Amino acid sequence: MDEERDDLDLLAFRYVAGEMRPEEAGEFELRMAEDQAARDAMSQAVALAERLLEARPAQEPLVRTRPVGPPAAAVARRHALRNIARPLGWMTAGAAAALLMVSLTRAPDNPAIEPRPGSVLPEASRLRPSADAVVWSQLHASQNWATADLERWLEEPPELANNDARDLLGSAAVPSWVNATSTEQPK
Amino acid sequence: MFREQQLPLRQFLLGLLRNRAEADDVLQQVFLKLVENWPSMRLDTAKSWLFTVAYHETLALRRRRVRHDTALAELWARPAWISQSPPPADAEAVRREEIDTVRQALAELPETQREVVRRRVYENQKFADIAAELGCPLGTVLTRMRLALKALARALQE
Repeated sequence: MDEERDDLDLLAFRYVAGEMRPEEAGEFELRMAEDQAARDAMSQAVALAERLLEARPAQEPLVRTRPVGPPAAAVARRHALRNIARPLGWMTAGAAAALLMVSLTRAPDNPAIEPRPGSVLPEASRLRPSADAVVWSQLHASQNWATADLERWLEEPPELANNDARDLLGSAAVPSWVNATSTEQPK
Repeated sequence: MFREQQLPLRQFLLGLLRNRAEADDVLQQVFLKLVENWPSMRLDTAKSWLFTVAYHETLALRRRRVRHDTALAELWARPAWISQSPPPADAEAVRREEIDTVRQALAELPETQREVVRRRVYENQKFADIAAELGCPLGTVLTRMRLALKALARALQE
């Protein structure tokens, strides 16, 4: 059992390090569709790689064997996209701000929100932020979860450039409950 | 559930996506789905549910990326103030402790294993190149790495 676990750990590390043939990487990804041990091994491999990079002795500069920056064409494409996306972003932010203003100014007049005389609203429902808000705020509070070193060290998944492996990935059907709403029961 | 699983899930997603912003984006979607499905969630299967949703969200993202990779690149961009938010103080303390632990465990590895880890992680050499330079079979290098990973993981878990 230990041996199996060790093999799985090495497999996950090889996947994370980009040291797998495309078909092997595709198979490992398919395995992760259902095998929680494989998923755990992957999480652990990433955590270990990150800690190892952070524990790098001062005299060990991170040697790169591949170009660090994106190709010039990608940079140019990104700049072009940014020129389109920036006004859209401002428009979205403006619309959100306007919506917020409207909801704030109208809230006291809204009978659905304003408590009726004599009615008692539970304090928790008035004061506690929604679960969504809690999730978002906690996520945002811990954004620096992975070092830039780790991201740079990780190579592009090898299987993405390979049509066969992409087909393999495509064959992992998405269960309907993945897109379920609150009325559906996870299997 | 969120506190227990957010870090392993993030690491899982980063391993699949190799991109922090994308991994974070999928993570948000996964936890929002968890919130939506919470009333009907079974606690004993919740972890597996989270990883399965994360896996399929990742596949969906990759398919979109293959079709529209350039357009998606901008959509995942995050405002600077988000990525500059400091991590919670306790998480930072845990992180520092783990770094010290790994550094110590690395120092305690047999020289042959440490050499493989050093070359693979810090010099970014491929296993095959390490084997060639050390003059030993690839299988030997992989075995050393496997033993090193086991020792390092054990140190981290302790």
